[in-house]
Amino acid sequence: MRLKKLNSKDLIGLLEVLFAEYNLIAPFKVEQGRLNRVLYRFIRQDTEIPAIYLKELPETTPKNFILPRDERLDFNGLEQADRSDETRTRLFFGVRSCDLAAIELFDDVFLDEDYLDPFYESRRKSNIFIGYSNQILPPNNFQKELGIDYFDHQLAPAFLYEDLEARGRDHYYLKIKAGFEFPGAVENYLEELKTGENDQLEALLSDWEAKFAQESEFEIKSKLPFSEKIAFNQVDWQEPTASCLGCGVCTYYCPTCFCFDFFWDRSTKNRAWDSCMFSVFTEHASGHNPREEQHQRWRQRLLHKFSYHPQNYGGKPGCVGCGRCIYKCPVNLDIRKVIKAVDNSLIEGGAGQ
Amino acid sequence: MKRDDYIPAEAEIIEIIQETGSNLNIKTFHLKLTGDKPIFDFKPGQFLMLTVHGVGEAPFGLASSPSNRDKIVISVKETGRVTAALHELTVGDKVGLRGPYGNSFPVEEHKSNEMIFISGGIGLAPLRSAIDYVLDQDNRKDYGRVQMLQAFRSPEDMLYDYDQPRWEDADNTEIKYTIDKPCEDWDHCVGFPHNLIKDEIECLTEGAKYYVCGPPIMIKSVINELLELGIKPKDIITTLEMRMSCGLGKCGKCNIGHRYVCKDGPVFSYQELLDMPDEF
Amino acid sequence: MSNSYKEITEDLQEMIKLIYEEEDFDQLLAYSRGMYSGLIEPLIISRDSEIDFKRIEFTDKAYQMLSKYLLKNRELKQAVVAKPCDTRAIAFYVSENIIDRDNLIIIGINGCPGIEGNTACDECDTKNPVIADYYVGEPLPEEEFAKDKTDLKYLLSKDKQATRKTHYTKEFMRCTQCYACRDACPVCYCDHCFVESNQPVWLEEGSGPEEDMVFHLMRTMHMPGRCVNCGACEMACPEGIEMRSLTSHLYHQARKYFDYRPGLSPDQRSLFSDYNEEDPEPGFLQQEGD
Repeated sequence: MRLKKLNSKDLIGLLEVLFAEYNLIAPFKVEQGRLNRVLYRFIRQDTEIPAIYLKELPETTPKNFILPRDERLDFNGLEQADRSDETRTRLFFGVRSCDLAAIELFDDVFLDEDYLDPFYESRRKSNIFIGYSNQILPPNNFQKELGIDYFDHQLAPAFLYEDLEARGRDHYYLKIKAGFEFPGAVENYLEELKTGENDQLEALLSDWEAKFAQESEFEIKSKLPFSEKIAFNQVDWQEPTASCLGCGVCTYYCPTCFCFDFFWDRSTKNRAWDSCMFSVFTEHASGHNPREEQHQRWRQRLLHKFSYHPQNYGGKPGCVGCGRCIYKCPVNLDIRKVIKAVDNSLIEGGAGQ
Repeated sequence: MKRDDYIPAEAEIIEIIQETGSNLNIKTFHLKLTGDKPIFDFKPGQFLMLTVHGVGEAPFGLASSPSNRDKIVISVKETGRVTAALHELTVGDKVGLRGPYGNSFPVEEHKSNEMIFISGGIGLAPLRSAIDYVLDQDNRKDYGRVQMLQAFRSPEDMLYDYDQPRWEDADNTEIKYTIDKPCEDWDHCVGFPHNLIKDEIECLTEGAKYYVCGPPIMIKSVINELLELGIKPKDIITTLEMRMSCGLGKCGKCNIGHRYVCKDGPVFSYQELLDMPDEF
Repeated sequence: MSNSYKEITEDLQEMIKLIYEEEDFDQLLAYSRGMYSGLIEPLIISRDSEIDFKRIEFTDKAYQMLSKYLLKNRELKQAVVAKPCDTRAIAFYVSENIIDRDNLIIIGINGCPGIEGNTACDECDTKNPVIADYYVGEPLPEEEFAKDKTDLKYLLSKDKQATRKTHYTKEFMRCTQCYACRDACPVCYCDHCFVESNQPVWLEEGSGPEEDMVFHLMRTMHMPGRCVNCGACEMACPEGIEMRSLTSHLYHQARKYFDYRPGLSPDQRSLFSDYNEEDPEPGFLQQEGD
């Protein structure tokens, strides 16, 4: 394991060197319409590098690149991509650990040996992630309740930590895992950087973790996964979800949501994001709809994330606690409120212990 | 390692049979894979995803027995956009085909038992795959007595009249037909299937297996009746339908609880249904 | 001077307490603060459930249109906290006969101080409720709020067609077809929306620039005579699209050409479905040669 200390200039230099070797994707703060948002963008020119914005959680995630909103299922294009060695590896810079856990979830689903998805595979094949964390807990984040470490993830061979209170000094730590080597030019650059003290980093991270623990009051007391039959039948689903409009914004911004549908554009088959929140998601041609009411659809969403997905994929939750669904929701419907209703109901029934 | 790229193989319609009259438009399509792909190998109870080019895709239960290898048979009721477009096609037209998907009827497990098939309307189509498998000359001796109760809305809505002579003549096999309301020139049963089971089907044999398929409400009432007659939940087998997109357990449309109807089903025993939330 | 958020919150808490004592109803719709997120969210609570009146709040972030939720449970008697734009929507529902006035207890907010980030509030012409049973806050005198704004920047009325086309295409290209705008809009309540129509297909699936523009144009064409200029569509959009450049544009066009604003009173006639002999374009009422 190597630990480097960087200041802002060093970081820009590192990004420039990475830009030369990889297809670099990083977060930027952009003005769009009436919003100022942080989004992942491809970097086209090195002059864009100083504008990279890491401080806040981006609204979009690597999901937009690996499982895009609309995708042509072009078998021929797939074969060509396989044979081309010129495709440079994509490097996602500054990815939070919750978003990395979401990519791991997608890998479980789409790289499953029971029907591997070749389109996902080709997009996922040459991707590298460099993680990021600082001492600001993203708003409404509850990843700790789902067992996701704030400061590391197995999918990231390197992790960047930014101490915002130490600006002006060497306030970045870059941890590169043992056994991982960047291409030559990057390694040469890294060699010139100062080495960091592991004890100092550990102390810093444990400070941050303690601070995060104070900020969040939300707790899940029952054991995950929630019991399917009991939660399905015993919880009052109407009350906590009454304000839901059924718009689907939560599922579109969720880094772990992957439900899709096919559509035809002349004779080309395409795949697009679909949402279990839409009213016609499960409507049969006969008009029969097993999930006619919004609260039934909410029941599906919640139990899929906290009961069905863990049952099918070795206990791993279908949610990473990133909090995006809460502040993107037009009515600020809090998924934690619904989780709490299930949690309380299971505990009262004695089933959660 | 199974890979699926969702791209359908090409198939040709080699025959179209108009099953019913004008009120419930049901047609049976015989398909044959073009190209040099291997024969379509499937088990009774599985389904395929059929693509009508430029329009869409829908799941259809396979209605033929796998022992009949030179064609793939599906029966289609005109309900929505894809089925309406499918009904407009003619012999020689090309469609897309993906599959087979899903689990299958436990016909191997159920050998040496009596088999009873209860169907409502087009629910007979997926059961036909199991019926023809059981009645196939190579397999018939492996099973006991076969009884069928086929329910339809009216004589006009009956399916597979060309199979009837073959089935009625089969070894140790009895078929009862029933329609909803009395009708001229009809001398078989009248009434809903769940009301007729007691009198028309002999349910006394231990270990007999009951295969039920039809509209959701018919399945529920038939199962209730069978339970009252003392049949065990594990001996009642049904096959469900749901709206599907991928057909292989990923797109999130057809799940009931953590089970996907396309992957863990569409065939479920009532024992399994008891364990599943009521969401279908 | 419009009322402060603090005053309105306190007034609302008192008023709702009073209504609980004096009135008989099934469900309350108000604003409250989320217990974990701290964000303002709609409070939809049945009268029998326990309620902590102190949780009811009104702040500059209370942009959700509570009037829309009235349509979910029309048979129930509902008490609703209504911003003036909400009351416009409610008056519109009553005038269209889709909700029974007797089933409503409307708590109108006088002198609404506006919602942060909502461009509709800058040009709001309805600062006091048009229909209500109870009122909180002091009404704002009419001279103090903007009424006639037709030179608004987003209308792009001075720009050439090519400029307008580029602007609209750029804005609406970001659309991911989530339909939050449609779901948040108080006057979008068709039982069977054209978007979900399968036979025939009005809107192709997928989110390309063509489909995005088609969706928004088709939705906007339903707006004149219905849009109450509340800005909920723009506030709901997760991509920050300048939605009102289409929808509110038609609000102002309806005003300009027909001197019509919907939702001003519960007895108001509708713009396109009502007619009388004095209409400037009598249409089918007149025979050829008359």
